[in-house]
Amino acid sequence: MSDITTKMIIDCVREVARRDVSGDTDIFTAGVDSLAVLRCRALLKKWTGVKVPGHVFFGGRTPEGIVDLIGADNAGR
Amino acid sequence: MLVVEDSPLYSAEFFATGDPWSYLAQLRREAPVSLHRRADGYEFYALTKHADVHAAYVDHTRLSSAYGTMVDGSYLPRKDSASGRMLIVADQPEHAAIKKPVKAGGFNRTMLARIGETVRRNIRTALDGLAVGDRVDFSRVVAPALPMGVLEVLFGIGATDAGHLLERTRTMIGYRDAAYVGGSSLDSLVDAQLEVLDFIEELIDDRIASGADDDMIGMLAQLVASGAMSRDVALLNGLNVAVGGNETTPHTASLVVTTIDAERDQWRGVVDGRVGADVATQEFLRWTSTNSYVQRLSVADFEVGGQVIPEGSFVTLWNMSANRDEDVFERPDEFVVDRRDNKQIAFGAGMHRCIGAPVATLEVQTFVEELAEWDRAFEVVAPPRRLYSNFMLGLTELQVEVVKAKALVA
Repeated sequence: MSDITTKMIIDCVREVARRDVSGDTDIFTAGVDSLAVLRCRALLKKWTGVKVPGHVFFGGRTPEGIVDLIGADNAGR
Repeated sequence: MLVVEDSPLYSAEFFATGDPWSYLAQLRREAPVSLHRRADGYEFYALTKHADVHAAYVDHTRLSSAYGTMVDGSYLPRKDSASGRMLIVADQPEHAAIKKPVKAGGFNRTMLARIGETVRRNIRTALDGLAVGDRVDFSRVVAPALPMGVLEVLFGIGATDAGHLLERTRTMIGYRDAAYVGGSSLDSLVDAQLEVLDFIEELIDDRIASGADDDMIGMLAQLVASGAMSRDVALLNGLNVAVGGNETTPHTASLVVTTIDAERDQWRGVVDGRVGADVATQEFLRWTSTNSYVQRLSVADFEVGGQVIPEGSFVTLWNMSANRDEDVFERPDEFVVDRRDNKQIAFGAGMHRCIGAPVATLEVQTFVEELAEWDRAFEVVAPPRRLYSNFMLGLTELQVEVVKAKALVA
């Protein structure tokens, strides 16, 4: 899971929600919803082969926060 | 108007351990329209009389559904991204445009007949698997058999997939209840929701590839393929139907079992054939009122019960209270299995009346018929555990023993 970078999250938000966000933008405030998370997750899976659980998006909230949570989830395993 | 600070109507615990029926009866008598506040500033009006609840349902132009139908149910306490795109949170004209294909594809006469057969088969299988002396948790062993057949038919899936889907939607609705989810509840909610959406999306892709339109999901898929419906709308409404169907009738079934146990003399009338299963089903629906209330937002001043609810207010319509209204029902606080001219409002009224009402009624009636025919019966052997929710009245645990039918109605 550590293959997923902040840039990938920013790219997928741009692709699915047509929003430009930076590493510390709250993507939900920027207009991302459950369906956008669904699409984002599918894109990340296409790019990396990894299916990210939905709760890391809602827990992380910003691209950086999401990547941190993915790392924390990984480290805990 | 009565203003209640820190109202128990907000409290899931009150509904699980207290007596919301009595509280609502008191409101109905003393303050049929009242205002309920919480420390964080959230407030809603509560309608408790049958006539007022009905009037509110029907007035869909002044009372909008687009702001979420549960108190706190929306991710944000304002219009969210599903508003206008998912049946339960859509106003006109979007509502009619979505309802038409969902109804035509999922709730037509042919589908109802297929659903009825599948539901009956599942209920029989569940009942046949039980022997006299068995002790089981009815809410987990038998109750899910009711919606499972509906999922199988509407979504064109097998029993195993239907079972998985049921588990996920259960987590979504019961995420506050530790019986359904462990650990971090909000995480479980969002993970479950995304898995359901993923699953529905796969089904839609399968149907687009095959061209099949002979079930609800196929009908939605062909609309997506032709461009008549967006993929998001198809997904959201697939989710809406799955959740609406799954998280209601199992609770009704559990409460039917506790009611029969408590009202054995009346149940004998159904077993003997003196009371029709259809008539009994209406009273079970009134008595259980599984969906306790729905919320609306007033988009104009709304006059009801001699009060004016100002524009911009949350309004809650208490089905469970309307169903015990002494002005509409004789002996409202008694279960009367052969009640005539039953004006129960368990499914709401008007344009937003539950789209699955015919299916849910069919499920409950089929269950009642199969129970009446069965040579065994359920005896409740421990106090049931109620769901922590002010929105759904249900049981998360119902320990029963299977006994000979004669032991229950001698």
